[in-house]
Amino acid sequence: MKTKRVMLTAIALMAFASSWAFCGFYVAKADATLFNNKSEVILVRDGEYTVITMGSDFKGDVKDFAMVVPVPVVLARQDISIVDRGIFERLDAYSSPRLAEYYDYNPCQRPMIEEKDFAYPTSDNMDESANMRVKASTKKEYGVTIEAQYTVGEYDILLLSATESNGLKNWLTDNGYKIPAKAEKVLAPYIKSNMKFFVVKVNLEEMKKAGFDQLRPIQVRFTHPKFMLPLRLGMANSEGSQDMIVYAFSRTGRVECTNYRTVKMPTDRNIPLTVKQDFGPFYKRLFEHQWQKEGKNVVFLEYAWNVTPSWGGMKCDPCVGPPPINQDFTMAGVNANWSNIFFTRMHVRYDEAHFPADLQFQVTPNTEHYQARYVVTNPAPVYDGFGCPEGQEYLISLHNKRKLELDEYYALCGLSHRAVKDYLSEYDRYLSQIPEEWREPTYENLPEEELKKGGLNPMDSIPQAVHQVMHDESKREGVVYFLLLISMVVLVVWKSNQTRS
Amino acid sequence: MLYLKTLQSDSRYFQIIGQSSFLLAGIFLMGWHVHLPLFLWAIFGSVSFQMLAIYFGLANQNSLRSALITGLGLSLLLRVNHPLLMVTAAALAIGQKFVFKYKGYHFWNPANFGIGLLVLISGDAWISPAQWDHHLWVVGLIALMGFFVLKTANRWDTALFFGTTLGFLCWVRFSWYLGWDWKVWWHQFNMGSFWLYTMFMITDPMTTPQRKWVRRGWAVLLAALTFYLQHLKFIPTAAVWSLLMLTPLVPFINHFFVAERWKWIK
Repeated sequence: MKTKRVMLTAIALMAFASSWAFCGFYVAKADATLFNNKSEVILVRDGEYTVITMGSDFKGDVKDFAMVVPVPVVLARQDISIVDRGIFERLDAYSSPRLAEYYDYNPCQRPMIEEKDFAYPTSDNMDESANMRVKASTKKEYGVTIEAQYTVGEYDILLLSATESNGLKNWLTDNGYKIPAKAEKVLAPYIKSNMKFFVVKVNLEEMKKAGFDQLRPIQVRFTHPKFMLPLRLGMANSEGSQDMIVYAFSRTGRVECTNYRTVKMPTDRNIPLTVKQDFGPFYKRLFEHQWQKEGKNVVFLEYAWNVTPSWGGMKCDPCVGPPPINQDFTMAGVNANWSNIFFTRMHVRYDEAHFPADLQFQVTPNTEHYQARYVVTNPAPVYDGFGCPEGQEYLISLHNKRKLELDEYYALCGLSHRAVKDYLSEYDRYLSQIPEEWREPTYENLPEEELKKGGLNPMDSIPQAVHQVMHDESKREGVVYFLLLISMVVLVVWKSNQTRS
Repeated sequence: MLYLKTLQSDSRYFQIIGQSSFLLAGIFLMGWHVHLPLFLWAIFGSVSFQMLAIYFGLANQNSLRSALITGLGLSLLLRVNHPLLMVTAAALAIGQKFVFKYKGYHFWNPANFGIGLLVLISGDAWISPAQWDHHLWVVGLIALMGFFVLKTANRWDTALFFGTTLGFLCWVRFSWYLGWDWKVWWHQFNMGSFWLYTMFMITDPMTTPQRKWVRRGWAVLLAALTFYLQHLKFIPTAAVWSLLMLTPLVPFINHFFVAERWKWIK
């Protein structure tokens, strides 16, 4: 069966994101707004130089907002800035999991191919103004030293060092910062690791002056061998799990976690066409299932690509948003001199039970491209009732393909698709003769409750796996490699027992 | 029983079985099937270079087992952008055995040398320390396989002294000094890569001191250096570098603390 790639006018789901594509076609994306209780972070790492941009989705009254972040060094005023919230939206729009749409053509009809080019819209710039105030004072009774104090944009920022956690907690409480009760236990290890505390609260006057009603992301820059994100303080005020999206930039290649396994989201899967309408909820279910399947203690990779503006290669297929431009990179903290920029998007759902230690990262030279991509295929238009012999063959392959799509849906989300039967047999009425084997009961006829019990029964998936191997060239290749590997090991062991004459 | 006798005659058999099962676990459970070409190149490269050495009379036929272990070790720990770099790593690993020698001892564990040098010089190779996750069964399986290897090779003490020292130092730092929950300490420990490394690489009888108590002291030193690099210098792959730094001392240690020379085949 053949497919052709067709461009269509986009359905823009988000106000800021029109959609463009190099090839293939983007119809929907699963962006970060789907996940409640989430935070977003941009990491830039070059040697020991690190830039961290923290986006907050704080929803309460801004005067209650306070943030305490352990940082390895005392930051100077010029190392702190405020950036436009739009940077997160642009990076998210560009890198979020995507749905591509393909069209079958009717073999009884001559194929028609459309190709269109699109241009990229530019994003608007924004500048930030900040006034600055440096004053260091000590409060001996708490054991807390104010190393620096600044007002940056709408934020009042303090850099504290402390000698003991109780004092720090008391200092923060007495100075009007709301600190969760459990936090004290977590503060102590940071103090002993010689970390400083970056303490932020909103300066209401400045905020009024600036005329913003939303809190803008804060960016900090420092040079230190530690490349980590402290999660433990955030866990102190939350019972359940939280989502964090990490957008990381490096010069060489992927950024990966060094103390939790980084797992690729299953990608390039053919899923039922009906998912097109609700791709967001589909990805949410998929994430939930994969997260449980992997043991809830992994970091998921959602995107990894060379995004150097001057680099000529394809940046995504399909693109769900305009690729970041130089301005975006500068705002994210990437040095303008970088000749190569590699973008990694990670998604971690963490909670206290499964993430006992802070996330640590490393930059690797791994330049393998990756995107979380799912494919829906539109069946061929009905023409001549698929009357020609090729048309009948196509219908059989369509039925088989749709069965695989439903299996795939089940494997990805851990539950069966709502419209199982109708979807499978939608085009069967054009068949002059229904194949015998379709009448036999298959697992999609099982009652819903049984399907919901848990993951795919491994015995069920064996025929599916065999089928996939037989029909997928890359999988066939894998089997050959695997057999080669095994025979090589056996051969070498056997050969090592022979003495040379 | 005959098979068991053959297996016990050379600890490298257990090591091959152990490392192969981890590779299989990686391929089937961790999605490593995408790296299959890399594994093929690593093993093919190591074995080919060793065969070359055998052909020129530099090694005997059963040294193919060592080469296979090197190939498996590269497959388990090293990741590269191009398959040919795996061959380079294999060439470095096997080649150095015949180039850097002192009184018949080679200086580095071949896989350790191949991995370390390639990561340093190529800029296209890396180590993913967290790739094994924190599954208890992985750690258990590694410990079990490691036990067979080390028992047969009579090198369990290296692993024990290394592991205990590192565990103790981590406990002192994380639980006692910093005051983290014990789970943070356990998280450090319950890590497949760490155990794989302990059981299969640092215990190599060819690159550890021969005299018993000297060897144990050396394992403690190695653990201390690893701890320093990993937790005070924040290098996530510290174990590789500390072993690379300390193994060249072994031939000299063996020169001063003479003991019976290690032989693979009993």
